[in-house]
Amino acid sequence: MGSKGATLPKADPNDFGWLLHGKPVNVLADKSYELATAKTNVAFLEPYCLDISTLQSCLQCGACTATCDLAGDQGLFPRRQLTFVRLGLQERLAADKEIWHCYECTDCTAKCPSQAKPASIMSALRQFATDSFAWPRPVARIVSNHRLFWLPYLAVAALLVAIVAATGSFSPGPGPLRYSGMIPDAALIPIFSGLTILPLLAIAVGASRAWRAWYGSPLSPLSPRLFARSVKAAIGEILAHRKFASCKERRLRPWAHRAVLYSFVGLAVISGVIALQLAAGRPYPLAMSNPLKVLSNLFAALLIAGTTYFLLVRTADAKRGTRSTFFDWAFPLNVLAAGVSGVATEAIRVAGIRTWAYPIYFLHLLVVLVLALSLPYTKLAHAVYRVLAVAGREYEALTTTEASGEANGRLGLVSDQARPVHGGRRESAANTEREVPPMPERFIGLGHEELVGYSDDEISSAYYALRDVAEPRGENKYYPNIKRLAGTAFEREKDRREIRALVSDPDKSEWQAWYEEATDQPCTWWLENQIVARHALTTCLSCGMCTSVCPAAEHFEEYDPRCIVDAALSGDEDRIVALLKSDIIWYCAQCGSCNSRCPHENDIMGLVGSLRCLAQLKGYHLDSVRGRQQYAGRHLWAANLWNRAVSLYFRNGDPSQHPDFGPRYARWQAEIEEQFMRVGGQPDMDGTFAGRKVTPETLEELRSCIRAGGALFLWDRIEKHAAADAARLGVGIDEYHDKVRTEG
Amino acid sequence: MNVASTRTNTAENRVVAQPAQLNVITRHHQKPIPEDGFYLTTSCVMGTFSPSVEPLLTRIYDLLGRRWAMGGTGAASLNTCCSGIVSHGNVFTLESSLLVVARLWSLCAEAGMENITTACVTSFAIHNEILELIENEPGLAEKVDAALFKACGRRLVIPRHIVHCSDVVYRYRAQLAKLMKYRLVDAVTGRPLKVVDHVGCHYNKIFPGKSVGGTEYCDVLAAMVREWGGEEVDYPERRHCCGMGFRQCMIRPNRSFTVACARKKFESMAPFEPDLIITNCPGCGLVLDREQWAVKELTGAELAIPVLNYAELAGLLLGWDAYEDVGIQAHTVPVEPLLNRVGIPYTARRAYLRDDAYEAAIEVAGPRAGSAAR
Repeated sequence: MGSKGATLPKADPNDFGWLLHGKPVNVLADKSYELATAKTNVAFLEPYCLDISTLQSCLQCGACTATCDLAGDQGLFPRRQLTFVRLGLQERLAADKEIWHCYECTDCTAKCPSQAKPASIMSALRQFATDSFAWPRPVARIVSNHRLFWLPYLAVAALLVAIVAATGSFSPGPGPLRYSGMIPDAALIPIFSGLTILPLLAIAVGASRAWRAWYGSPLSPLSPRLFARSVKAAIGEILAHRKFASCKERRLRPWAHRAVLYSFVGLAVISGVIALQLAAGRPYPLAMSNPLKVLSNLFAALLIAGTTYFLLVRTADAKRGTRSTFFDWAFPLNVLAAGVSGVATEAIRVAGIRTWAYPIYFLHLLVVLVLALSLPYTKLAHAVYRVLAVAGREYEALTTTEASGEANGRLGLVSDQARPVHGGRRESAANTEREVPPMPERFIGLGHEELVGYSDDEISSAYYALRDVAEPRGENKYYPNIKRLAGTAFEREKDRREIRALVSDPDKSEWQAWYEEATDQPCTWWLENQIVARHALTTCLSCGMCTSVCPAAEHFEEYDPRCIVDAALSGDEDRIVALLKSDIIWYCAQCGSCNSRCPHENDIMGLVGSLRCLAQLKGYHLDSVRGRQQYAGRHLWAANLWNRAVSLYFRNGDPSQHPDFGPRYARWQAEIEEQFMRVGGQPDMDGTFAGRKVTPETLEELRSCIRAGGALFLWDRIEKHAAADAARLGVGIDEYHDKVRTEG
Repeated sequence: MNVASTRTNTAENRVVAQPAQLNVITRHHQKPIPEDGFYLTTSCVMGTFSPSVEPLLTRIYDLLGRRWAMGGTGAASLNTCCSGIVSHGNVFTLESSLLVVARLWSLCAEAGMENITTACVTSFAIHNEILELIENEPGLAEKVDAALFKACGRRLVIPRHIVHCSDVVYRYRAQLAKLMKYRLVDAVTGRPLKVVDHVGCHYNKIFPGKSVGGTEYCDVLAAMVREWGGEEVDYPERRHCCGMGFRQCMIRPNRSFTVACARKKFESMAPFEPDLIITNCPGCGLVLDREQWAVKELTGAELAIPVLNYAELAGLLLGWDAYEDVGIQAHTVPVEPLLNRVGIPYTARRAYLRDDAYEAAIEVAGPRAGSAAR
């Protein structure tokens, strides 16, 4: 083969050209073999996650990362982190800023095919990192040791007893029920303020350590202005829960988290305001109609509701076998206790139940103080570290944008090229940028909604300009952008518009016109007129040979090719429609075993294929989960055919989609371009064999044939039905694509 | 699957005795296989998972001195997909398939060839399906010709024969055997290696009459095994589908079907302790090789039965380089132990291109790999 003598380019060891939902995955290829053979030591995480042993079942499939909407271009969690855990890279994990972008929405756990529970492991990693940043460490060791859990409570209780003994009374005298009788406000405010400084100081040290661990430099930003903008953007992002809201598995979870977050912030602010008012000599307690009181009650209710939700979820998870650590339970219970005791304190005061009032108030002070003092060491610390991590990411993006002169990059929408360089992929993107105008390059990362404002011409010309960018490789040309375009939302949008325009062209083929007419006819008409269906059946003895030999019938209980033939021959429109709306027709593997045994030489496999085509024309496939998968099939096989003249693009065998193929396969794939060239293939190159890029002229000939045969009309119908279904579900078309691809 | 526990399923389960099978093949389902004028159509599955096979086929054609062509080479390549996967994935119309295939036939004629030889069995079925329709549907040939001309300026030229590349190798198996440096026998004991075959469903189930031996007694691969020194081993689920199934293997939520079918086949063949699985379908080769890992992960059964395409096997026996020409490093199940048995030398260090590959290759190939490399 001509390519054999070609010099292989020196590959970047981190750039394998892998894309997962359009995201580069540059972490696993060189580690998968090591992972498969290494003895995994995950003991360091055991104190934080009782289910850590589930990690052993991780197949490195990447379903977690593909599912995760929070994992952006840079944050390829949780798979990267799961890999690092298995490799025992403790220091790297403690210094990993990506773990703080995860909200533990559990989408990844729900989609994990091997029940490795990545969400729990990410949560454990955050606690592990919190401990590594903690200051002073002796205090952290006590707070994070469940055997010494009682000690902070005892210490704070003793402190409170001492304060009461010194400044107030455990049994204040008769008169109106006032908590200031137990601890005077004049004593409470300075003591509380003083105690609050300690955790703030500790968390400030922790934040400084975290920043140094993440970026290798002290927390002294080069540009205070940009850092302030970053923090503002981070707080805005976190308060809005924009990313968390995309959680699919537990849609209530973002709301519960919002409730807890807002109530925490709200109650802290109100407490501060009231403290200032008290210091200024304003009367207390406030009237129930006082806006501050109304707000604080509202926040307390939110706090209780949100925390109760988390506890209920944890209880349900426990029933399903998920084990939780002592602190997984203790922390939300403490928060709940703070909320409930706060409300109870107020209610008892209003009701005038003197017997319970002071013990409950004491309890409230105790849990609130312990909560505040343990902030830097418990799960609550994520409130600070997450803000810092998000701010750091924004700061990185902003500084890079300004440095590259792209000052128009707004927060959160910084272009892919503007993001900081982490490996070969970014460098190669930068190289390509020199050859391609900036605008087409930027299209690659965009989805349907971001592309709405661009014209069909802008999109298609950008696509083809990028596709045809070439660089020399040996005696041939190599097209580096094909792998970046294949399977992306940008390519789908380009195809969608291209097909729509061609189908709408009045100069349509005879066969397209036939399919348009057939779509409006009854199913029985189709069976009598469609070329495959018409030839498929002669007569049926109902002997069942097809079913007896069918591998799908063996695997799927409800699949029975004999019944499909029977329905087709029945002439019963309702029965056929019901069949087309079911999962049943989608079970067939199209192996043709039925055909080989049918004594009347019926083409049962062809009949099923014909019915599938009809189901998609009419939109009946949307009623079935396996039918809906056709939208993904259309954008896999048909998109490959339309854009690359093959039904499978050679990178579709990405190990992230094939954990079932094993680590040796991943190893081969890690070197896919070099290995292809070695055995005579031409990966994304001009050529004759595997992986080649066909010429635009050849592609155009193929496209004309496809169009003349009416397939574009079918694709357009699939697209329209998918859009309607996505609208019904309230999701974008790109999200719909990912959804149907992973359902079933 | 525990191999030991399934050993009760032994040779009495063999369905067909070899001599009787030969008689049946002689009586039925013999097919004309042209000697020359081959137009090679490419395979999308091979192009994704087995990039070495198509170049191997052209080398075999050259070795046999056959006249063959592809539609243009290098940057001028005209070949495209036959539409098999989109068609069986059911995101295509039959009429579009008619034109895509007819265009390939036109390229065949343009290249001066008379016969289509498909690298892929689904291509083999699609080409034959289109041929059947054109031959049996009145007026269709004219319609296709007109539509093809309008679409791309080409004319419908029906090929003289449509055969699978394994048919060609089957025809010339004896001639190839004479050129081979190695035979399918244990280099130490001299015993024939036990080989099970798996013929792609789209080769012999959709049009049984167009395969060598039909659905029941397909001989296209078994004959190569016998000719090249190996022992053909029958097993109960020999005709069962491998489970690839297009939307089953390629859309992840449906993949359980694929693994289940593959597992059924492995359980059926395991008691016979085969040394090799030979296939003629790119999809079957893919599933039976790669899914052995999934079956191991799921059941603990370490089958490790090497899987080779007939062209890969021919290449190895002809003495072509295991890594540079045959590309055995693409396989999930290591082929190196088989090379050790046959006595084919190889340099394990060359399996992968990165520095740390040698140890990995040694580990999977066993200790003999090192000595063979020297």
